[in-house]
Amino acid sequence: MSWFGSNKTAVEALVDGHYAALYRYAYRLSGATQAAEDLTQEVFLQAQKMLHQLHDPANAKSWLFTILRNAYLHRVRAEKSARFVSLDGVAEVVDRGNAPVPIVDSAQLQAALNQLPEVFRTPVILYYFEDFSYKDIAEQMNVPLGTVMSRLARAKVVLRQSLAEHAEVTTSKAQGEGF
Amino acid sequence: MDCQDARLLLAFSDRLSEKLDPAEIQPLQHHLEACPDCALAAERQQADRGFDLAIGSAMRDVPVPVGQPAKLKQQLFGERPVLWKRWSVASAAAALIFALTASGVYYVNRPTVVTTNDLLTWPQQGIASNAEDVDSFLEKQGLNVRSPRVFDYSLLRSVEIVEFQKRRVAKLTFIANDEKVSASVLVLPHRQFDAPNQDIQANLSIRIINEDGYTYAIYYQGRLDGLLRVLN
Repeated sequence: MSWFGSNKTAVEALVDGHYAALYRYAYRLSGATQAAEDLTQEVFLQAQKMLHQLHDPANAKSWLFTILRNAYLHRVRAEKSARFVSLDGVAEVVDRGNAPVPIVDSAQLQAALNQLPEVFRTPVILYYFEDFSYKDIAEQMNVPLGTVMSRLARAKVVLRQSLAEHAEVTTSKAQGEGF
Repeated sequence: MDCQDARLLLAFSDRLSEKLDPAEIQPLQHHLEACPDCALAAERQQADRGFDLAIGSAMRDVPVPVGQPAKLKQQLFGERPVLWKRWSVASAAAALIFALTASGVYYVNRPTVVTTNDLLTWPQQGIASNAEDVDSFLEKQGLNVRSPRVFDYSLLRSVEIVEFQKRRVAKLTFIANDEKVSASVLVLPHRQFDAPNQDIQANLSIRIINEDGYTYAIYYQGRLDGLLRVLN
């Protein structure tokens, strides 16, 4: 039994309430639809087993997102993925804060996100879903709030630069093609 | 309020989910009016809003596969009923097989109704009509032998497999109640027993006949002729 009366009812409510958000998060983390589906499924399978750990339904979303990130990290470690670049040089990246806002589509954004190390990508994704507070993000990532804000700031700079570069390439290609 | 606090509050004020406390808004505004650097940061932050909105919109632009939640629910819960159904079907099948087996066992082993007449007339009933039937019966018991052809098989009362000289051999018992004569016959194949190869009348109750590769040792009471069809 749980806060919804039965485990089945509780898990069904979690699926109904959070599947879409979790899938989007999983997609943005992994960058692939199949991986997103698998991760989302894994989250609910784990949630079903560990439902007794969720004492307050108000925390369900954060709890599920944390499970998803852990599942993702587990996979990434298992695959020994090394496709991410370091952000060590981000401090030197020119902040184009006053540059015009680039037109961003979903695929471009994903390409830019894929370039970010996970510790930067996760807060950016959670930040832009806008449902999570800095505190929530810090708790999910188990890091201090200041670290979240710092990583966010650096990640946003890189993201902005990456998208702007893409826009420049697209523009010059279009000009070269006579548009 | 110092610049560090002001920058922190600015960062928080940028988020829909991070509502500034009304008590913090006024000191922040005072600080921004007095600090050109922080005012510039606030201005840039305001300009960033467009970028954030564009990124936020693109970030959420992920089509969720239709039907996946339902499929997931089926995976989470659907297997249980299926397993339960499988278990039920298996249980029902097992119960049915058990019931049928039990019924079959009971049917096979049920007491046979025997009347007084059956008991009284049994000694007159033969259990096999001829030697071939006996041979067939013995073959099914793993004993490939040829029963003696000289006896009247309507008088056969029992066929047994007994041990003789550490070998399994057939023992046939004939009884003729009306003539008060009975005989037990051991069937000894020559391939297994090096028995005397000639007919012997040892005494009044034992006779040994050799026929077609077999020695038949006959232990009898009364007049043996009463049990035989032809005995020269």
